[in-house]
Amino acid sequence: MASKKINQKGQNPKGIFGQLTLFGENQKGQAAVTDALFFLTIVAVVSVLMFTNAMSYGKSLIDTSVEYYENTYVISALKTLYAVSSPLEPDKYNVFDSSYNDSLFTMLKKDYYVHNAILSNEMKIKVMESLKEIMTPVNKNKNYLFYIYNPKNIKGFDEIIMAGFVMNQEENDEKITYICGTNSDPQIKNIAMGDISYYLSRHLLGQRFAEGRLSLLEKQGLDSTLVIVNTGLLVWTAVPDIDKYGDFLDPNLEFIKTSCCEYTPGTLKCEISP
Amino acid sequence: MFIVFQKKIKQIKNLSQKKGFIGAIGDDLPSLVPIFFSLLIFFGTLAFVFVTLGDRNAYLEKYFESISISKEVLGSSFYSGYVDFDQKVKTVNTTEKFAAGLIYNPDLLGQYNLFDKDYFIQSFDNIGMEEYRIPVSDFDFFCTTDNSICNSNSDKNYFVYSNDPDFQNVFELYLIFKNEQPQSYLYPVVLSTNDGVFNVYLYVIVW
Repeated sequence: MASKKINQKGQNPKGIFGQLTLFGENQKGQAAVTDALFFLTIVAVVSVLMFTNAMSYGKSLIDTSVEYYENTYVISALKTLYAVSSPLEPDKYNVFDSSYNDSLFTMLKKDYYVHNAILSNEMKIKVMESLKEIMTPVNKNKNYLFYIYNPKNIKGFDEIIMAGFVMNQEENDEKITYICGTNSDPQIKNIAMGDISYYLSRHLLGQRFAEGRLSLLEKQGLDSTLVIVNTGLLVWTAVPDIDKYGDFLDPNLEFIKTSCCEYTPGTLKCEISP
Repeated sequence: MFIVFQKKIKQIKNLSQKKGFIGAIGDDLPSLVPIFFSLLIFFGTLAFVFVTLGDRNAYLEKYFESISISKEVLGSSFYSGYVDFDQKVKTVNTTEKFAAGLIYNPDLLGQYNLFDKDYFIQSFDNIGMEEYRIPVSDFDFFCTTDNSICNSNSDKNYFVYSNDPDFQNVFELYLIFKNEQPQSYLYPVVLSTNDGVFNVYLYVIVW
């Protein structure tokens, strides 16, 4: 009706948007149509926005709760590792295969004490085997690192007591386990100390982390000293880190190969003594 | 009266000779079509948004309740025995139906990777039941023969509890899920038995 009034006054028809008419000024009945088309455009944009918002509503909440669930899983896995049993025999790892089982971490404490503040390779393997069993449900999709770290040892500086990486190999997606000891490369110490940004930025997508404490006894002459060490379980999305020849795809990760031993059931292959 | 009528007709004739005028209906009808479609799109979208938000809110409410149930059953991740587990699951205060069991062979989860985000998004988007059906019949639920709680299902290798009176057997879960959207959670836990302290997996299903 607005356009009709304008026409009665003898003016050229223009929509409410003035010069922004779709048709030429001499066309008939174009002003109302132009206004309606603009109205349609605005409504379409508003509708698309409403639709997009409705479709994404709550998804960030779900993402957050998935993160919460994964974190809970990792914390629960670390707690389980603390309490789980393991066979007393050195070459057995499945509790159902042995009649003589003991708490894994009790055995670890004994081992640490007997070997003068160092863990034996057998003990490290037992820990990693138990951890792999615990992580079975997520083994395909997750890589992980477990470490025991002493922030201040008897000599006054920090050291890694043990670290174990379980990582994916390219092509066949098989897991390769690396077990590291006290003579590890300083970069592994950085990971254990929490300065993991270097590693995270390159590799650890969707990382989840749980940390615990452990009391260990160290021999000191005829006496013993109680030390409190940190344990940590770091889990991240499985991406291939190792090529089919066993080399790291990222040369920055070569320190794992040179500092740790590659473990396959029955064998421990070391480039240097761990 | 006739003169007035003649004047009116003349006025209309003059108007029709002016540019931009094609008649009362002819001038407005083309503009009504986009306006009609605009209103249709707007109210259609509005109705869709209201329905979607209602569904999502109901889903989220149930989803968070399921997390709460799983966390409550999980507790400290340590069960001093089946009695302890039994007591824990029976004290869960919820209106949702759930089943909680201890299993020891998660390999059988197969393609249903619970850490896969798509798994949640799929169920979130209400896709067909077949896509997230859980092959519960493949599970080996953990149980020992020396435990009285398991006696009723002594021929089955599982231990599971549910607050749903219709729930008789873990192998019937699929039938229940046919008309429901279950949420499931898996956690590694420790179970202490007479034979030792074992790593088992807590499986919680809420529907």
